Amino acid sequence: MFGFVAKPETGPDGAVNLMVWHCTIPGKAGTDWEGGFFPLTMHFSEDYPSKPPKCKFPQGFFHPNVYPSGTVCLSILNEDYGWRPAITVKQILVGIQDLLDTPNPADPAQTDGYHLFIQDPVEYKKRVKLQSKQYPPNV
Amino acid sequence: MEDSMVKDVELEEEIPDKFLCCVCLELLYKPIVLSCGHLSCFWCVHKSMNGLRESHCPICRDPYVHFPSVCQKLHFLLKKIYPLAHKKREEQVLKEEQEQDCFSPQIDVVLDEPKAKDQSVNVSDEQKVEECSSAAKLLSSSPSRCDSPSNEEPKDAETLSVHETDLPKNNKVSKQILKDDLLCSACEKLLVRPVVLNCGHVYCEGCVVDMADESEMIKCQECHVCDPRGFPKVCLVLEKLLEENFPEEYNSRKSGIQKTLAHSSKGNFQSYQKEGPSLSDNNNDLPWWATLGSNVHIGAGCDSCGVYPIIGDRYRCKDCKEKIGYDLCKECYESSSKVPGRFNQQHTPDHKFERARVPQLMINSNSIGFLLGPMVNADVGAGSDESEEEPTGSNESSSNTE
Repeated sequence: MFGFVAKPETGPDGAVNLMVWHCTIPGKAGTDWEGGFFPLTMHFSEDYPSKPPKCKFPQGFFHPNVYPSGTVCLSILNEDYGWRPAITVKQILVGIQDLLDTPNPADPAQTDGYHLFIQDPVEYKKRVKLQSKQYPPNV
Repeated sequence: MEDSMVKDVELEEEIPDKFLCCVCLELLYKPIVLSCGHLSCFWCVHKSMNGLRESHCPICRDPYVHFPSVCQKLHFLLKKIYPLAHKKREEQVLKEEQEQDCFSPQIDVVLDEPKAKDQSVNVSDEQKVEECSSAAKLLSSSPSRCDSPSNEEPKDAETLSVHETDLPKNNKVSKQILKDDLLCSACEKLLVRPVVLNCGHVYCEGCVVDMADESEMIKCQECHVCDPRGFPKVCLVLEKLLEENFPEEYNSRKSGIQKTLAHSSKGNFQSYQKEGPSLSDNNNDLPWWATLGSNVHIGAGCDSCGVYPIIGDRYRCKDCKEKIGYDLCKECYESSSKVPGRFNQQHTPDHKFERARVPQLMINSNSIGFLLGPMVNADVGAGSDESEEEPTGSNESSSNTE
């Protein structure tokens, strides 16, 4: 578990907002995502943990299963499919890290990432590596 | 004062993971065991249930439609082993309940009161007396109910006084897990492969098999209510507790049971379908009310069998004053059930019922948002995960996969 970060949002006045967490997901070693430290925001609702938190990468994040808004599309984050109140924040982060290198073509959420993944693996790889460079570790 | 209390709890009572609720991550309070054998707190189960259709176990997503009753055996056991943490939880939950003006079953009050009078008081008893008096004050409108089907607590108290002479310290005695706390209500021996019925009573798996009638319905021997769900699975948390506290006896009981089961024609009970037909047959992604002619009472559950939501005829008590009301499904209405309300309603048998209309009018402003979410989802189809998301490219791309 290197490089994972999860902490609640702190306002300018130092007040902690437990409903919004700022996280970092490191790209898995040995994949094209390696070297990237991807910022993810979790938005919890009053209904948590009955309902899953909404997980968002920055807008326009390149991945077949990430909506243009940045919202991650993953079964365990969907109340009607895989969400269980027993799933922990750590499990969510590891689940999303896993999703990065194993996209699910059956559930596309953006055109760009999906088309390249299906039609042009070389270009897809290039874009992934480029994106990983855009998110260096936060020192 | 609260700070010191928290410290005490942490110092004196280390609660193993198995007794932490997977939803709220605190000590299980008024635990409910689902038919898959997983458990969580009364409110944690209720809050994660789906008012539109079947619900899913918070741990394994096993589908279920009945909200089971609290497992009192486990409740009193946890109260006994972790009195401080339990008291803290009780105060916490009661405060939330008062804010919501909706209460969980007040099992402690009912069962403690008679006992407090005639038992020699030890440490945990004193606490219980305090607790029940404070709880009773808060719920002063509630007369003490004596129709509770089970009386585990007094039995538990008897065994306490019997064993007091064996052990030196009162304090220790009250926290000791005794065999008598973990007996099967049918065979009256140490529970083996414990299963918890919908009514919250605990039996050996083998005893439940024997209790089933020709139609495979299990009628609880304590409260004489049938379990509407079929065979529940073994509760592994309880089994672990048994194994840890009575290793030799448990293992010999277990191997004995396995031998008998092998010879029994009912040995294949595990394969029985667990949920009733009403919802499982419709097990698709559409909400119930989307099916034309379905008669789903969204957000309304039966106070007797716990089915939630009620499908078909629903009978609502005209005399219960509580905000949550008291409802019965058709089956329970016709079987004149005597079970008290799931939320501590002061329902009595002389109350009158009326048939409730199908719920359109029940929808309040809170539930509209709740309703719209799934509705939009259902239109978009299984592939899309977001109701409010309208990405420019996503329609195009999803049409590619369809």
